[in-house]
Amino acid sequence: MTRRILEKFDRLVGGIEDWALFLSVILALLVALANVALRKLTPVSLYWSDEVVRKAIFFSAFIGCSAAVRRRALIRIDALPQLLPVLKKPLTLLSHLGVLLFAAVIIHLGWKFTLVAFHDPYARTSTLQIREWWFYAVLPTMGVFLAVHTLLVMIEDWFGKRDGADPGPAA
Amino acid sequence: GLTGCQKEQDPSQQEPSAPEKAAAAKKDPLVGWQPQFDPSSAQYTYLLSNLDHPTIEGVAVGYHIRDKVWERSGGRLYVDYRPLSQLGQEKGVLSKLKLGAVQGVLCSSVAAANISDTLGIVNLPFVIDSADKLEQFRNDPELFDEFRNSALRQGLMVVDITSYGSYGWATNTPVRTLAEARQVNFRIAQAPVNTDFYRAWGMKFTVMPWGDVPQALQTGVIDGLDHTPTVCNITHKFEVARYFTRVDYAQGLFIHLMNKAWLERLPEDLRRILLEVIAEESAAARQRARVQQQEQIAAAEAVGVQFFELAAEDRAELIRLSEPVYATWGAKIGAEYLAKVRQRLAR
Amino acid sequence: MDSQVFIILALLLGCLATTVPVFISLFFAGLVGLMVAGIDAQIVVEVLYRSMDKFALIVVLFFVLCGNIMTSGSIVQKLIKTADALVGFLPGGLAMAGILACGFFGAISGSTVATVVAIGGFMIPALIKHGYDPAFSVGLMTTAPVLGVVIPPSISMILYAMISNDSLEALFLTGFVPGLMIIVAMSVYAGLFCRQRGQQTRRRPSMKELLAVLRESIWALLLPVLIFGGIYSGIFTANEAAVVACFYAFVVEIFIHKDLRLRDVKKVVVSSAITSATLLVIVSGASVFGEYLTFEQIPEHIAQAVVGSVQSPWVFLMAVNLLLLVVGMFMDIISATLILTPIFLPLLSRFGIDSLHFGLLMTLNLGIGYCTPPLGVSLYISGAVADRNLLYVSRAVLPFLLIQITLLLLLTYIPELVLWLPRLVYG
Ligand code: NA
Ligand code: NA
Repeated sequence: MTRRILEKFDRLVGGIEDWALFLSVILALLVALANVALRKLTPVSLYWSDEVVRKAIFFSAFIGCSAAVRRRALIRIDALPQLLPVLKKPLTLLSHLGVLLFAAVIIHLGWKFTLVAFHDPYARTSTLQIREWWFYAVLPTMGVFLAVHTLLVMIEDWFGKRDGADPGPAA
Repeated sequence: GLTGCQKEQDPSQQEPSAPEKAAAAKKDPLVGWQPQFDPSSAQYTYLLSNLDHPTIEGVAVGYHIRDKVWERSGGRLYVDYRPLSQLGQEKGVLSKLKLGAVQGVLCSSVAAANISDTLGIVNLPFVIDSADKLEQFRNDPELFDEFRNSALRQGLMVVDITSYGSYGWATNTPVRTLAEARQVNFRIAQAPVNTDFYRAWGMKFTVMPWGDVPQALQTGVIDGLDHTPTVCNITHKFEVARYFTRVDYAQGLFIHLMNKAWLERLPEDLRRILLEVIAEESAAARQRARVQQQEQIAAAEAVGVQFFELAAEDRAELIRLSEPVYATWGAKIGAEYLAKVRQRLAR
Repeated sequence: MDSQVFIILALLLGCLATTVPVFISLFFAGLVGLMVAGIDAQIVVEVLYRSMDKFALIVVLFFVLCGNIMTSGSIVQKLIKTADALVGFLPGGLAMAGILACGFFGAISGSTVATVVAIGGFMIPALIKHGYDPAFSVGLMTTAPVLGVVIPPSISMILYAMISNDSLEALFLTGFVPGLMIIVAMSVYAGLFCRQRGQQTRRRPSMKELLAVLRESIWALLLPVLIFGGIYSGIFTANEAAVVACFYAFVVEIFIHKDLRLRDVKKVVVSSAITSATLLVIVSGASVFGEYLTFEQIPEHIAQAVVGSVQSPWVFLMAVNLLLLVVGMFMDIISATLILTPIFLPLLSRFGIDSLHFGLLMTLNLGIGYCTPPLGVSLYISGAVADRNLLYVSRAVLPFLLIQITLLLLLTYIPELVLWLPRLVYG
């Protein structure tokens, strides 16, 4: 029962992540392209384009990190389980617990920092003057997403995968 | 070391009494950056950050403060000074300052405007636009106290200011007129007030952190730099941008910001020593910065960098175009305060 | 230096060994270190946020995307077919093409990570497909990107010159001879390796066959022309070239080659975003760990401990080489340059070492550190790109590391190799 709810939530979060990633990368690409075209062909220079691209990359890095957990694509050192296959299961569990601990820390610290930025009227981006708490809020949000994906991956490891629950490899 | 490649020398690092040491300093501008004492015995540490190069007098002041405070406090307070963006880029360091992880920052005036609007007053064009006016502003309590206290809401206080010279334009192509300047894509600092007046001036510009400037200038993302001759020469920007237009529209400042809660936890006598030394050394550094600007311009000219004055009518045009910015920023800073500063300094 | 540092280091190695993701291991070690040092843990949020705010990282996302578009469509196949037709008849010909590509591309991007992603991403599968030994291919394409920091322009050199007050042009000139030496040595090794293995070399294709291949691949061939030509002629910067290349690759694959369907675009974009995210978060984690190292001045303490008691310049340089190699594994090259340069510079005159010479050594050293097992960042990145584990990549890079470290020693003890060109130009 819990598992079904978690799976539903996981799919929902996964869908949000994929669209968010797609839109932010396309936004970054189009803005950067427009700036190149305008700078080469006209005297106009979009002074804000660099900031948009940087923020889109920040956004896509951390949301992409959570999406990578869902696809088991985060980079880790797997030398030890390869040398000693008997350790594979306990180490995998330890690794998941590490990710969950990270999620908890980043939800806690990220939320606190987001509140600080929310109450600081000067915490704005340099160029477009966007309130920075929006960006800090990405971190605790990622923490929540990470935790959901990790829990589901742990369940899959423990009870085996269900049909149709495989989101497929990243690349 | 035998290459004939040019190196800048920093006269302040030389000690005539010890010719050997002076010769070493000539070769290695960094001699003297490490403290000559063992700081591990200090009771208190003041972690002070800055983004720029210690050959700049307004930056070197950190080392002078370090040594004098150590001496006067009898080794109880260590000013752990980290220039060259060692603790990160300015906006990030300011966050760490508010959290108390860093206790002091010699913050560039442009970045300081992100702490309070009032601190942005020094960035406004043609307000504090000469070293004399800066001295007048610093030493008039009626003008400086409002500035000093404007960041208290963020838990920070302004303890003093040093200078890195007069703002103008370093460019890849000669710029003598406003029309020529409008062909250039300038890097400007990450401050809302600077964005506003560059837009008012009708110029092309890109906003980017200081740390990204070398690559951007090298690769041609920008072909001009809104900065001072001292900084451009010492940080090698003149090797790419070979022209400098004197506009002298503002003084580049390092604003010495301190975490107030940390200062209040410091014992009374150490607090007094620290603030006294900062005031003495900052005043001395402002004087040395004037001399340094002349020296750096001469050194740059000697290797072929060309300096121009912006034509008087173009400068007048910039002042005219700046009026709307005084209106919008007057509303943020306090119209009365801005008017008072402009009026007193105009005399 | 006290036991704290070793505890933090043990924590990092422990996390890494127990398969905790690399970026989370770095994050934990940095976080715990900062907390032990009595620094507000909240600053890590700030560090994560600012760590992505870097000019040089933009290129990573866009080149990953460009690479994915090219491999989802048919540009890569066509490029490799052409390269094979041109140099495939030489022993190790395609490998040499890969080394040269790193030299060119690295010269532009100034970053080893971006080079591993951009060149390794399509060269490794291509080499393997053309019958090259897989370990050889992975090792080659993990280590050749060090050319990116040695051949100018190089960000780490720019920062070094800024601090040392050396002329930047002069420092750049120190990179050409060592860069050429690395290219030649690695190419010779590639040729010998392939000949010894009895690598199939094919007959030289006829002019007619060559023209047919070129005609078929013309749109694909215009992509590197656009990137390299655009950048070296000064029309584009590296970032701009990455953006334009993405756009061009999309247009060619969708409308000309018709090998990429519009409805596949979202899949390609999302998987690129995820791949680049797995790389970028390691940069973030390294920033948190670097924050701890910086606050506690660990590199300074190590430097003083390692070189403080040394008298001879030979021993000094050897100690520094070892130290930098280790630092290069842990820290990104930019932070390491900023933190270590001011420590070493005052020592140089004592040993009569030229600061230009030292700048090149430092850059090369930190670059080699990037692909030194077990912690060099490039190992993980190329492992991800080639879908191989760390053990495999570590073994694969060994012969190439041996070559590069031998060259490093040559350059260390024969300063003329480094200083010849700047002296020639500047007198
Ligand atoms: Na390079
Ligand atoms: Na680099």
